[in-house]
Amino acid sequence: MIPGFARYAQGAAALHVNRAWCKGCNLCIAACPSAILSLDADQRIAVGDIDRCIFCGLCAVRCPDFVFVLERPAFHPFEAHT
Amino acid sequence: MKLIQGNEACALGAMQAGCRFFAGYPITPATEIMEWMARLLPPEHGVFIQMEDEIAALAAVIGASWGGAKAMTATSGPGFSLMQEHVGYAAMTETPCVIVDSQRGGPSTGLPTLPAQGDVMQARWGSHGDRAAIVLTASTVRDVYEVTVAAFNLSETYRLPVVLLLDATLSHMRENVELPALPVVNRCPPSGADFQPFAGPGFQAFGDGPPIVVTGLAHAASGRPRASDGPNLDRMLRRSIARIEEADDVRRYRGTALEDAEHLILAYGITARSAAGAVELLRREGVRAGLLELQTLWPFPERLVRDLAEQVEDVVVAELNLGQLVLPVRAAVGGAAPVRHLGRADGTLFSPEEIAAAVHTAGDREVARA
Amino acid sequence: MPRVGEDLRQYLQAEAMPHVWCPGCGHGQVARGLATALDRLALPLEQLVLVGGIGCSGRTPFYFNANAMHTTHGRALAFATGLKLTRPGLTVITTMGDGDTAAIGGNHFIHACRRNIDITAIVFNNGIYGMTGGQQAPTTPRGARSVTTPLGSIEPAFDIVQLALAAGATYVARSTTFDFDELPTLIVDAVRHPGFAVVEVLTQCPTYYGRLNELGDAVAMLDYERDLTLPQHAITKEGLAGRRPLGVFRREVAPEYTAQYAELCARQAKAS
Repeated sequence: MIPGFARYAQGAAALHVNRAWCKGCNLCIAACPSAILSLDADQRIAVGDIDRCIFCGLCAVRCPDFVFVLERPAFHPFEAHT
Repeated sequence: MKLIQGNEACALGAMQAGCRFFAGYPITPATEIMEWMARLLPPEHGVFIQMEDEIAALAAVIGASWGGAKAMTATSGPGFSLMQEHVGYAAMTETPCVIVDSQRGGPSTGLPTLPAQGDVMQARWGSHGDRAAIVLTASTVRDVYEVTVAAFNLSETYRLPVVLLLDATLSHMRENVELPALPVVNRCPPSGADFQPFAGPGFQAFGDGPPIVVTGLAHAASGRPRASDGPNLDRMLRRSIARIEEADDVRRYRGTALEDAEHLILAYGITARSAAGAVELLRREGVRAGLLELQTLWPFPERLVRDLAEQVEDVVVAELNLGQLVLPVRAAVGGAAPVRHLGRADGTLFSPEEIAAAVHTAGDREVARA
Repeated sequence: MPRVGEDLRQYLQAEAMPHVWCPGCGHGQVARGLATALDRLALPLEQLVLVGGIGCSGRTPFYFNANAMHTTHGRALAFATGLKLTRPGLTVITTMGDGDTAAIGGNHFIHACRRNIDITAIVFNNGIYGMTGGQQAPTTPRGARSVTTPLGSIEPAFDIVQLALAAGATYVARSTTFDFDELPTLIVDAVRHPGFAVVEVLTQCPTYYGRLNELGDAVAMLDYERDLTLPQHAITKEGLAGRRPLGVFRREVAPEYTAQYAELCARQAKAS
């Protein structure tokens, strides 16, 4: 667990979300290829079905507010060329 | 003994005080200070840099001070005007540094090669907002050396930008002087496990400990911004101003023939030399005149001036401007004695005779009024 | 190995967060690019000084767990120059806006480029003054609206990359907040470059530039940035067709200022 972050687990992987820093800009929502992110009634980030997350990290790299941290097994195909 | 120029004495004083960074921009009549620093610093592994303007010069000085170096810049009125924002930044960030302003006739480009004392109020109030200010001046080449060392010492003790006001005549004047080693105050190191970078004299340079925050925004003792906390800033400014007001090592002055004086001449900088001559002339005539030469203009020595005013019949303030230091003098003297101002902005020094005549006139007026 | 979505909290000053920037502001993405770069550089944070100017970009140092010097408008490089000369061992990075860089601090910018002092300048270029409410910047494109050019700007804009190249900077690059992968790579490059390095980052201001110029929200503005620019390798014989090139424009090793100064001192100390 990361203090202040909610943890959404999918097996060994997890998406950590710091809702308190979210400003509701929509950048992550537009970037998410699995369309599992949305804004709640407070205009802050809400995570839908975490089982559909592919842990691409686009939410994190697009987020201007450091809201997301990805916790993943050691290798991910996306990292091979970065 | 050494025959040197005022500006050279300033550079030598800076080196003696431990100055190891100078940034400047050429301007008459201060340039020789920079030229000397360009020669004196490299062998001591100190840094000299000629910046793109005076704004950058003082910015670089402040940056260097936060790198841990004793740092100085030197300029004249037009450059000093440009520096004002960073004078305030240095005050807000409690940055020790020394700014020399060799005054010339103003406003604007004015009388570039002629002396003046027109930057007295600017040195105190030139930057926006309230702040503690220490402003020094000198009247001889030997004093320039000593007061430059004092400027560094005070800036290190109180973590403030200290302004040293010279003038075109003193800067370029040559005198035979001894330049002894003088006591030097070094920066107070950080101390304690709960050290806060803006809670006292302890100073931590960048890279010498855990990361610190320095900002021109109003801030907490930790350095972190408190940009909407007005009461915090008000407290901080009052504390900083009170520290200078209450200090006993800040107000430098020299008295001549004050013991039995009936007529007080108050002067500073180059004008104090003419005033000393005036005292001599007047004493020869049997007129009991005395001179108070201020080396510290700000904080203004109110009590000293008030006490002296109470012992004399009248006060003459001589300065090379149209009425600047006379304002706090009048405020301090109150009704204790009449205060006469002798000022000029024509790029000419007062002669002793002119000042002596002003003392006579001040007396005449008093007689006429009585 | 670089990762995506990594935990960058160790580089951030958590108590200062959330940051001051508006929803969707690209400055947060530049900050993430910088944090990612710091993660790759593995620098000791107490030996890093982030020097900010004034404006939205100038606040960047506050959010990092490194030394922060928040200076005056346009003068970050002048402060940084004094600091770097005094402490050449420190890594000094300035975060400056386009107004800082090309308007009020234009003089300091060109002279830092000319001196080739080992400082990295990250220029956050959103084409407008954000902090003060959307006024024209020297980078506002001709025809673009701001609150001080309500009928469209009639001034040509400065190209910060060209300005840096002409003034002699030895490392010059441009990226955008759209290019989340390239941006930290260029910052790493720039910090490692032994001389003055400029990384211009085109960043979106949805609150003012986007709204006043009807470019939509932050999501739409990222697409706009993508369409406005062209990686240099993608430039065809048709040329740029009005787009701004991205990537590294110059990487040259030339005598660095603090190194030259140290040599000069050593020479003079030996002679005397």
